[in-house]
Amino acid sequence: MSQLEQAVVQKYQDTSRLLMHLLELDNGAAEQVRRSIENYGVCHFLNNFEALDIPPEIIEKLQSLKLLLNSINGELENGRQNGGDE
Amino acid sequence: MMNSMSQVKKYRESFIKGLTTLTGLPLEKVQEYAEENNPFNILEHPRTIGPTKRQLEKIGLLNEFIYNYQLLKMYEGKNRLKLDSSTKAGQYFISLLGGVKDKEKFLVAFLDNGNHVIETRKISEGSLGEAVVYPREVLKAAIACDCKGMILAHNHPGLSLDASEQDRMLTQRLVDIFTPLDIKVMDHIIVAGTSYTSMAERGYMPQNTKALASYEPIPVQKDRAVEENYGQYGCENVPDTEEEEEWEL
Repeated sequence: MSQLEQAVVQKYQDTSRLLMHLLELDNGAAEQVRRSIENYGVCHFLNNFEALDIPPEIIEKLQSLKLLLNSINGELENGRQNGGDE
Repeated sequence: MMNSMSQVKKYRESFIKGLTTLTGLPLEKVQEYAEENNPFNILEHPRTIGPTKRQLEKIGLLNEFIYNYQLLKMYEGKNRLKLDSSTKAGQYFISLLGGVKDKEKFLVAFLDNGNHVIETRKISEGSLGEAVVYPREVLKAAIACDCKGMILAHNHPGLSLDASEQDRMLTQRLVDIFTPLDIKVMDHIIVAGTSYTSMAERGYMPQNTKALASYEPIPVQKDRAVEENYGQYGCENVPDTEEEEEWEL
């Protein structure tokens, strides 16, 4: 495994761990989230978490997270279009 | 060009909703801050809003997650998930349905013309023997994401790997709906524990329409593992005659 690949694997593990703490996942949900992120990537996970077998309150938190990420990217894009005035 | 002010307002409202849900910061407090300031600044300078220790920790976790997400998003940009064989589809749906034991779930992966997953949607879920697929829901989701193909999947909690008559009928019904729209139903994966059956590998996929499209709900029949005593084999020991199915749109 190259150094880059090792770093990416580590980044996925860190990201799963962060989500586990941020969303206060129980072991079952944490394992599903970890598997999905480490196998198929974080973007795929955020687009498809509703297909996972996780409790509705976690789905709701993930919807909030997706909303927040989209708004950050939208704000950044807006700032770029306005020449960084925002 | 979209109204920039209303876009800014929309992003800020979404951000505030997401931030308060995830960190526990009180909505009123953040809204009050946002009247005079850019709410996005809270992430960089969280102490300006007077958070509790726990809220501060959550903001820290959120910041770290956002940083990782932005990095990985760039990395993943060129590596989108592609389901171009029954093996990949089987493994993918095992990861989603393999642990579901007490209910039946019916999922659909919608694909673009390169077989990349646009979206995987849960179409129905029910207690044993009670899941019902509403073809209109599948159609609505397919049109919304402008897909060119789809892979169906559901689990058999009783661990039977056999594709029942009901499974074949359901597949045919969806082929009848989507073939005239030039959307290919490529496979139907049945997941039982950590094994799967691919109807495409078995040669069970309908090649043509058989009847006019019907949008009546379709029950997903309870699998009959015990009474029919089917042999159980998964991807590791599929008979030689059933080769991995590769798809091209």
